[in-house]
Amino acid sequence: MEENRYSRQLLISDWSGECQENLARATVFIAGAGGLGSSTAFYLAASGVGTIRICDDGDLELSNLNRQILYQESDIAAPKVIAAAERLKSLNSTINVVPVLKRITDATVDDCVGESDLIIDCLDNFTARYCCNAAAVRKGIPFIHAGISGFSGQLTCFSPPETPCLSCIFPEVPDSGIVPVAGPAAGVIGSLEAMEGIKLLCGIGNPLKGRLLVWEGDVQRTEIIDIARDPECPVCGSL
Amino acid sequence: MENNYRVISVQIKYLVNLADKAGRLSETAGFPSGSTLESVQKYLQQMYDIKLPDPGIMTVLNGRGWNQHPEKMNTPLADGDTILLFPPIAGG
Repeated sequence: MEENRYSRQLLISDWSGECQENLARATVFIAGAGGLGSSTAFYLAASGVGTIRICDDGDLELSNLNRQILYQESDIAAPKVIAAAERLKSLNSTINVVPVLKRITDATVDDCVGESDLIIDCLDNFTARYCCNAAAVRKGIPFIHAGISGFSGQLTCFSPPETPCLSCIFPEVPDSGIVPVAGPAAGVIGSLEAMEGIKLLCGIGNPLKGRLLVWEGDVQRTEIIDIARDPECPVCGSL
Repeated sequence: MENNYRVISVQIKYLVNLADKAGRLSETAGFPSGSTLESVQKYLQQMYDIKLPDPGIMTVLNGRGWNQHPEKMNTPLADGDTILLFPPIAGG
C-alpha cells in the first residue's frame, strides 16, 4: 500500500527506492509554521519524510489564512503547530510529526532542532534566522534559507564550508516588522524549499548550493546569483 | 590629437523594491574608463536617491557581493559588467 502512495515519484528515474528510504529515515526541522512552512511541510509530509519537527510559538489568526494553507477557519486561536501536526498526520499517517511550541532564540534553538538532519527556514524574521544558521553550523547540517515579500522570494542552500552561510551573505539585516505577502509567493517558494530538501536528503539533482535564487512573481523574472564565503565570517569563518 | 576617452557599458538590474525605486527593471549605463563601483554608487544616489552601502540592499557585481571583492567600492569596472541590486527578503 505504501509503495502505491509514492508510486508517482518512484517513477522518476533518479528517485530510487533507496531515496525513498533515505526520506523515511530523515528528520527535518521546519522553522516557522506560516506561509512558507505550510507548503514546505505539506510536500515533505506527502513525499514521505519520516519525521517532521515543526516549530512556531504562534496561534492562528484570521489574517494568516491568505497564505497559511495548512489551516482552516476552525483552527483560529489554536497553536499553529498543534493544528499543523494534525493536518499533516491526516495527509500521511505513516510519518511522525513533532510539534515544537517554542520561540526560536539563541537559548532554545539547539533543543528545538534536536537531532534533525536538515533545517528549513520558513521564518519571518532575520533574528531567528541567524539563530538557526548558527545552530546548523554547530551541528554540521545543511540549512535551506528562504524569504518572501509581496510577489517575490529568495532561496538558497547553506552547507559551509562547501558554501557560504547566512551571515556571510547577509551579515546584518535589521528586522522590518510585518511584511506584505501574496499567498502564491509563499506557495512557490515554500514548494521550492521542499524540493531542495528532498534533493539534499536523497542526493539527487543539483541543489542550490553557492547560488541564491531571487524570484519576482509580479514580472516573472528569476535571477540566480553566485554567492561566496566570507573568510572572516564570525559564524562559519573558522570551518 | 588622439582621444583615449572610452565608455564602459555596465548593466544594472533592479530587483524587487529597487525596481520601484529606480522606475525600471534594468538599464545599461555608461561610465568613463577607469571608473569603479564608487562611480555606480554616485550614479545611483544622483539618479534614484539609492544610497550604498546599505544593509538593506545587496549589491552584487558579476555574481559576487560588493564587499567580497578585495577592493570593495574601489573595484574597477569593466565593459560588460553586471550589477544586481536587491533587498534581503525577510517574510515567511
